[in-house]
Amino acid sequence: MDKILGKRSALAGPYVIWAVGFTVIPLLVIIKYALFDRSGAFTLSNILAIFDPVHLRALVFSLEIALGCTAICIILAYPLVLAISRLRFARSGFMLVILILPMWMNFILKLLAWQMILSSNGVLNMIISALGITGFDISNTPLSIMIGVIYEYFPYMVLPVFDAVVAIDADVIEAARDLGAKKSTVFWKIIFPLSLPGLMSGITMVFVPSMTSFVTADILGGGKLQLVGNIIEQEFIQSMNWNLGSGLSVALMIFILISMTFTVNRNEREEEEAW
Amino acid sequence: MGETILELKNISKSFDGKKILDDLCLNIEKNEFVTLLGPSGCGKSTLLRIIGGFVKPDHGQVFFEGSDITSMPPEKRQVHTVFQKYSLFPHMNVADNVAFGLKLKKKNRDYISEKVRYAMRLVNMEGYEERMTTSLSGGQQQRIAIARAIVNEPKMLLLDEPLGALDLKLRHEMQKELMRIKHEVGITFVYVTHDQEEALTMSDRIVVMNQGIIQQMGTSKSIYDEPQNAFVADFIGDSNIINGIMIKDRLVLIHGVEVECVDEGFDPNEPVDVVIRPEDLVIVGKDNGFTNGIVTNLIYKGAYYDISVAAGDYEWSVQSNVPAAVNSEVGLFIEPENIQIMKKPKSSDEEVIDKLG
Amino acid sequence: MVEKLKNLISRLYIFLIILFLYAPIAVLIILSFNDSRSRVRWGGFTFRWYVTLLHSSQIRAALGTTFLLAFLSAFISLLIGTAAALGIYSMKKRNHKLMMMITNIPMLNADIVTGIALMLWIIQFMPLGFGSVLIAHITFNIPYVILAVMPKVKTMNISIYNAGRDLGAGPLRAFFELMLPQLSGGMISGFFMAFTMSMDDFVITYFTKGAGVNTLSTMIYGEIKKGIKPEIYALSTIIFVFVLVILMIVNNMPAREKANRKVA
Repeated sequence: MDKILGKRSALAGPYVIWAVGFTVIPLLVIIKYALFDRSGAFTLSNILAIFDPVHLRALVFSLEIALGCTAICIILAYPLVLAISRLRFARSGFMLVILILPMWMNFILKLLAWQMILSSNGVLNMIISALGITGFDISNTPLSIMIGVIYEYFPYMVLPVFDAVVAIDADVIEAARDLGAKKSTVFWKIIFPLSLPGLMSGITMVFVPSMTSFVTADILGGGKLQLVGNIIEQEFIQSMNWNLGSGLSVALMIFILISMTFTVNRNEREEEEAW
Repeated sequence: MGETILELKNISKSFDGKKILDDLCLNIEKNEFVTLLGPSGCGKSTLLRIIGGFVKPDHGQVFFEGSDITSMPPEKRQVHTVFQKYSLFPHMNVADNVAFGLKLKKKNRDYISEKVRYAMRLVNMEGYEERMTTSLSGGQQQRIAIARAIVNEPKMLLLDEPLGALDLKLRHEMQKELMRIKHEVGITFVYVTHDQEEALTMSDRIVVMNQGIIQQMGTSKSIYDEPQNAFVADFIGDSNIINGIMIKDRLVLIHGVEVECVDEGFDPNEPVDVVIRPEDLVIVGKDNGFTNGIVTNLIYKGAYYDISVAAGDYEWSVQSNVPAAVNSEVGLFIEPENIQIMKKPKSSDEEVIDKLG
Repeated sequence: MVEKLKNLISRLYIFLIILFLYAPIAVLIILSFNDSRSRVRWGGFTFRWYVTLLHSSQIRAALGTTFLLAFLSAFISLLIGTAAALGIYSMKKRNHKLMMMITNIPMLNADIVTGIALMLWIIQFMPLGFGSVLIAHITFNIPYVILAVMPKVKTMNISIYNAGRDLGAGPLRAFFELMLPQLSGGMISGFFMAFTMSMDDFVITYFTKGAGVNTLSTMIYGEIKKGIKPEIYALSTIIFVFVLVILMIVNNMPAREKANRKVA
């Protein structure tokens, strides 16, 4: 054991094998499928199929949904995090429990419940028509998909941002106020920049799944609105065209990679320009 | 001295039903170096936070240059704080930290860079402008924290145990630095510490606090030489505090022995606290002092010896330039003017003497 | 005054968020007591679905698979992940970085891509079934364990191990009694995170399960078109209350938890 602790990196052995076997190789396999057609000939058409109008429309729609949902999650999360951090310690722990608990309910069931709430004869419409507003029906619209997506991934935005905000030393905030910063200035100059690492992981955890949440689009979009996820799923499950499905997956991966590096770079630049 | 800059009137503050500050009054004069000294939990930090505007007192008022600032938010006060944990902004470099307050005031670029250069020079940190604060040592971070406050030209600087996290050698160095900076910028310093040596070294005036009340105020010398109660005597320096009875003026009974002193004005046979500083006790031959005892312990401290002498069931603490053999029987001698006699408090809560200062 | 108003607003905001988070859960709980197979009609109050739940072998099987999968994958991930965190931390900088990048892949990649890639690879050497789902869950769970344990490894005090050895503890004993306890906080949260992720997963399971195996998620998904069995609502209500009680107990274990938090 002394020797192992001396050469501790050996402890990572099982994981290295696992990561190569089930993380790296599968990615190579999916890329291989993407680069060949059914007959086994090399082709780029599976990947370039993303520019097919139907697919491209789904990609743009996914992007709109993901951007919208991520933005709304950020806007909803910060006031919540600030409100929770105002509470006393015991209560803020309780609030986190409240936030995590819904994650244990099966997400498909929760989506079905949203479908009922949002449907034309659902609870929401009953309330709204009782208020005298008619013709308001968001069932099977992009808006209803967005509600479902935000519902699912909101905690993934709140938790890392909360962790980053509570880690800020109370003295640092007092120091800023002491030096003449109003509360709003403290937020923009101190709290927000210091929470950026949390915000970044929140964005990745919300943005990526928002683009591909095909079950959400199925249930709340009425089957007519398609995300990239839906297209890929259909290629595998219905059309059984694995090469095309893989090609679209790889295209999606590349797209996400590009947009992520874009966000990260933006973030670094903003940090430099904090003043 | 000069004119009053800050006036605290009847300040009281409780947290969760516990009284932290109790009807406290204090005036601070312009350009003074005032130290709030006391054990942790005595209310000194709360008092500082009230002056800084981070805590609102339950009762009482705070006046700054004559106007009531009790409910003024911290960002509007002409008072800046240097925190114990430095509290530099971790996402900004040193220069941006120092420039923070000036940028908020929308000063122009040239003015800001001029002021930042001046402040960096003042704290001996030229050349560190572009460094990230997280790469600095504790002492360096504290210098930046001081620069960051002073650059805004506050009328008063509050320092909350600013040297508490530094090691001894660095602390001594920083004490001198602080006094130099104080001298150079000429503003009022209110300094909080639990380190009596630090307080005695730096302050114009020391305010000794305990249990939310001012125990004694005065210059270092008056606090050290004439503690007004047993708490102050015990807290400032090492002391032998013994129960005694004042037989008559200039004569006190200690451990059954009548000893001459210089105090007057007590009731005949009044129980008192007798305070004797270890460095004032002199070890003499057996039967040549006011009491005899056995040397139980001897520690060499570099400049002097720390000697414990057991007499009856009391152990005297003595500081002496010459050693004494352990287990030998010696006498203890004291000059009458080195004996301090203090009235007994009626209860621990009344370990308070006047609040005038 | 202003302060009070702000407190009021922030509480109101918290309330609205809670309303948003719990509205669909309330709907599900109400449905579990609805004496009608229709989702949109209230047919009166009943406990019936809770009783028939006990007799539904299909649900029982799916529930069993879900929990077994969650437990096994979380446990195996805990072993591999904890060892990995210790190992990766002592690697040279370049390898350290590379390993952390690989660790981030399953977390950054879209679930659907992870699921499909695993499926395409696994079918090359074994049929899809419980085993392939387990492999998939372990694959996406290990990173959660590593990310939870890593901060504890960074703050771990290795001299305690040496002190223990110095005082005569054998190497194994010193490791298990002196080193592991320092990691336990991270290991526990890593385990629960992995367990939760496994319970919650649908997409990756969907692509790697093959025919015959069902978790609650995939079973429910298959039933959407036919109509959800009301027993499922009863089951989720039970799970919800169960987890609620556990989380409340954990949250009210004051001293230890707080002490841990402070250390963290």
